[in-house]
Amino acid sequence: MTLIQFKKFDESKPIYLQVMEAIKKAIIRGDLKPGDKIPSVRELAQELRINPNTVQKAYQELEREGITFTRRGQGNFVTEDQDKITSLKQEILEKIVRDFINELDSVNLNLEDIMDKIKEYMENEGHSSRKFR
Amino acid sequence: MKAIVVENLGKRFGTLWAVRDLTFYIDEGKILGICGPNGSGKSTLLKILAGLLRPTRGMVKIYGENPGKHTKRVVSYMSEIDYLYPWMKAGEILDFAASFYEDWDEQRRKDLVNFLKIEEDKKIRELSRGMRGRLKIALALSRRAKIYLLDEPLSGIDPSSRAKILDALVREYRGQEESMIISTHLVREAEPLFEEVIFLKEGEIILRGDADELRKSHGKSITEIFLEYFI
Amino acid sequence: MKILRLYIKELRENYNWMLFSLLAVIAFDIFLLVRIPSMQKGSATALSLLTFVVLLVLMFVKGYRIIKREWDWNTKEFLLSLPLNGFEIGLAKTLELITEATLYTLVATGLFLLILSRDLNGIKHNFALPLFLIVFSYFVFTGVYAISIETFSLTLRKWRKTIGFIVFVILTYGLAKLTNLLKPVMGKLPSFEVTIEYMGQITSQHINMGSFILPLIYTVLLYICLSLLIDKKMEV
Repeated sequence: MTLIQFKKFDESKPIYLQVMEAIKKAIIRGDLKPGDKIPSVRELAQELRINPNTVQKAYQELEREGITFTRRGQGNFVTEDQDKITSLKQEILEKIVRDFINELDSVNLNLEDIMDKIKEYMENEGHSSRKFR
Repeated sequence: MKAIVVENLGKRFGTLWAVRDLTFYIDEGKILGICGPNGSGKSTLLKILAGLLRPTRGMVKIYGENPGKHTKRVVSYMSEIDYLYPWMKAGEILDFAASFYEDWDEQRRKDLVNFLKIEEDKKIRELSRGMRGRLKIALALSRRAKIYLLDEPLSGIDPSSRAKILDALVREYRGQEESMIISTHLVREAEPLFEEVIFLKEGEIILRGDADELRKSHGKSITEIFLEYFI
Repeated sequence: MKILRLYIKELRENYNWMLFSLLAVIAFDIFLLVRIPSMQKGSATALSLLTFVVLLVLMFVKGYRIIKREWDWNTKEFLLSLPLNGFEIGLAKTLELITEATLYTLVATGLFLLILSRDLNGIKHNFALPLFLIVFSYFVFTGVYAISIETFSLTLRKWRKTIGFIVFVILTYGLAKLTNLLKPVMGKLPSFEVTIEYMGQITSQHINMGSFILPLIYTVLLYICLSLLIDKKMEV
């Protein structure tokens, strides 16, 4: 299930939230496309070595948020609603930026230094294939 | 009906109260972690639920019944210590147990023996510590029991066996129908399994709650909260 | 059948010890048998009687071990987590003891009678059956008595050996007194008429059936006691 790319979860945060986040990111990344089947509760629980009920809780929340839907007897699937996916992108992006800015604030760095550093890092570390403006 | 109801449970050995005034319940299909240092009363509590000890006071109900011969039919207990007949072979103790339980699942047994790499032909006294621990788990999980009581399933076991045991627990656990209580002081490795957590100190509950809720409210892992309470 | 399964496990657990003691008795008796010609008349018979004493002591030790072992090995946690009540556990262990008692009785008594007939040539008697029954009942009673005492002391938390010993003394005394009291009642039971004819002399004895029925009655009572103890008082 490398599609979901769950490296190691942070035990200081609710696990079911992290499961949800990992799936959302996989969807945004395009590893899980609209209409794709996501792993079964058992599979994912075994893969991650967590309680299947925790996975179940995450899946229920995802369904409640409209990110996934259940087809009876077949499992859980990614929504095909493009608007939903777009707003999901926005939601995750906002979270990343918010966390990032909070980090910056905590060390009181200015935006220009940050931008230069980002450019430098991306070029050196070989991320230059990414689009960056 | 609640799987387990405990009310004002107390157990005294001589003048020592191992467990005093415990009250909690467990819904069907949940995994409860009981965390506490050695001597906090975890084993005593599990033994009372398993029907191996009688309460000094208070009430214990397993699906509405007092622990006894009939609850033992649906409760699978795994002791912390080496409690299997040393002269039997690993396979023999599994066969032996199979004949006592209607809920024994032979397929599950085969899967677990394979998965946990248990050498069925060896005598139990010849098995390594790790394999004995894995055998105990195989024994406990080869049943479709309604309640599993696992007393320190990870203690005194090498890391690779521990990982295998955790994997086996996740693999075999069927939510909804099965409840599980895992007592441990090795909180870190087991915590991802817990849905609910009880901290036990000197026979009393000092913290209880839903695992994820505790993580959210404390902003820490269960392990970190545990250390906070017990250092 | 759960009790059967437990019974088989008990047999397997005791198998080596049982085999060893049977072989020892057989070896000893065969040795006596062979040495009869070179011994004083009657000595071989008397020595063969020794095996009964040894086996009686053995039954006591076995009864004690049968339950103590579960404690020493910590297998009591496994045993008591099985879906069985005290009567079922007690029955499996008692039946195993009875099995061993039967084997010992058959071997020791059989060989004794053989030695007797070789040693005291030409002796005629009919006490085989009563002998078997009495020896059997004493073996069984001794074994179950030991299980009961040990089961009782294992329900105690402290001073097991002391209190166990005291209870043993009191109970033995009590049983002896009870036996005395019951003598007239037992007297009403039929008797075996035992006749021994040797070297022209004939002697007759009446052996009351109570001498093996009473120990068996005590055995049943003790079984009930130990089962109740396992069921209601035993803890791990």
